[in-house]
Amino acid sequence: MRNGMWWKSFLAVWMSVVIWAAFYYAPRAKALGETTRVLFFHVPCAWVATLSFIVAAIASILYLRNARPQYDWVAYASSHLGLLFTVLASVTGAVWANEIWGDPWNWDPRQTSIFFLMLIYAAYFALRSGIEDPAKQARLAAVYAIIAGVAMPFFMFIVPRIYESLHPDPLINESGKVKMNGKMLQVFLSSMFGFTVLYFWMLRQKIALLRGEFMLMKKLIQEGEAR
Amino acid sequence: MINLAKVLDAVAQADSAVAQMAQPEKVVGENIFVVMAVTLLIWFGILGYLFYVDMKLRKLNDRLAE
Amino acid sequence: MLSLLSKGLVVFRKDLRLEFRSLYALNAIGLFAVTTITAVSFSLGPVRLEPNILAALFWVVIFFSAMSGLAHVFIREEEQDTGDMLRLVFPPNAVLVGKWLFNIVLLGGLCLLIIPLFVIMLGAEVGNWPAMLAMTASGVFAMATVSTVIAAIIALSGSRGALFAVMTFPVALPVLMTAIHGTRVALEGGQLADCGNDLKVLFSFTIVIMTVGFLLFETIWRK
Repeated sequence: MRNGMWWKSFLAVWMSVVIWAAFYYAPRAKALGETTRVLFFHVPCAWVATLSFIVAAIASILYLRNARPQYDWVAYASSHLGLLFTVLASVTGAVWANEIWGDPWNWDPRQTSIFFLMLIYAAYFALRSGIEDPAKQARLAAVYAIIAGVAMPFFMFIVPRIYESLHPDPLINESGKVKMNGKMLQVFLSSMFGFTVLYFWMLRQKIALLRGEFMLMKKLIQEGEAR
Repeated sequence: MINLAKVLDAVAQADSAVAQMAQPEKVVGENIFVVMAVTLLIWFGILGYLFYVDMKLRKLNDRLAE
Repeated sequence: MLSLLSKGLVVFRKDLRLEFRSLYALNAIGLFAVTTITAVSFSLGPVRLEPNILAALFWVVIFFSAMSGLAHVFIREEEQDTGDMLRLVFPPNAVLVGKWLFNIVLLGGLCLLIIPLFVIMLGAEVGNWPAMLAMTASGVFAMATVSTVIAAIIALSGSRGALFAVMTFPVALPVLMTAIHGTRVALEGGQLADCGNDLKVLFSFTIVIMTVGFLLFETIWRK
């Protein structure tokens, strides 16, 4: 618990600086106006959602190779965070799109990809909630996470490319990225870094929770046997 | 004299037109409340989640300590 | 490899024989498709649908019909406690081969029913038959593959099909999107080459999912 203070204080200072910089230090992009600043919070959310998917898939592979509950906790906790961040990314994306495109939802490839991730996470939890036996739950959930992880590249890279002509990609992040000047890039990368650290902090907390539940269950079973 | 006044008038008008042009145009993407909504949504989401996990963790630790 | 295929064929024949005895899956998916198409046809009356709507409807019908019946091959084994015998006698991947073939045949048979219904009841005009058939075949192939792998997870999870559609949809979404796109092109009379990209995506997707399926099936199938 002691080194938890380090994480907390570091994150508090770093993220405060990022928030300040996003509003006062970073310039605005021409086409996006004030809403340029959305970029510094929305894009890291989408990045963290993707990162948690990758972490969950890797943890699932590790679990199938070696059935230690720790790997399952990582996969479970990471998917939990992934669900949170996909929801945050799509809701904030919709708010922003409503302002800049005049329509909260228009099946832009990126929106679609995040939505697809959200569905996978939701299905993953639906599957887990339906299985009683913890080992079986972990095993089948890991298999599903891997299958979904294999399907994701198809979705994220191939499908939007085929439909490029159907889905024009109006000045979303690309324009921000391509035209991003030095100051914006500094803030953007700092924010990405901050969110990544934040993700690992949240992951750590959630894993601690899962480990605690595991210990409690073990303790209760032992007490039951002793009686 | 009258001509000069007219010219001055025109210049003044042109000036004010330029001044109006120099004002930031009311285009899409200038709504700072959108930025605020997005930022707050994200932070409340993350903080809410952290507090929720923290609360459950504390309860769990209490039960484990029993 | 050869023995895997021949053992898989034994499982396939066994499932086929059982299916003809009860006709459960056949009834489930066939009647689902007929009901849906009839309902749409009734409510539309003489109105004719645009190719893009027809293509979407076509795949929605196939998807949900598949969801109502394709999990049955695995669920039956668990419900009638024949799964353990299968685990003893056949290697896991032979079971997967058998069930996979069975689902492909089932879903393919369904298409033979759906396509005439679309032409007769909804007045669909197919612009290019070879393209249409190629899209349908490869789409069904991909859909059957994805559903078979997920069906195994579902059957072993004990949730008895309640979650099948929820869990298959995200994984099958690339299939649905490409198949709908290609079918629309075919309905509008595009050439087979116009669907080339879609066919490639469907084909590679099927191969990848099947490979992963073979790698992981032993883990799923283990009790």
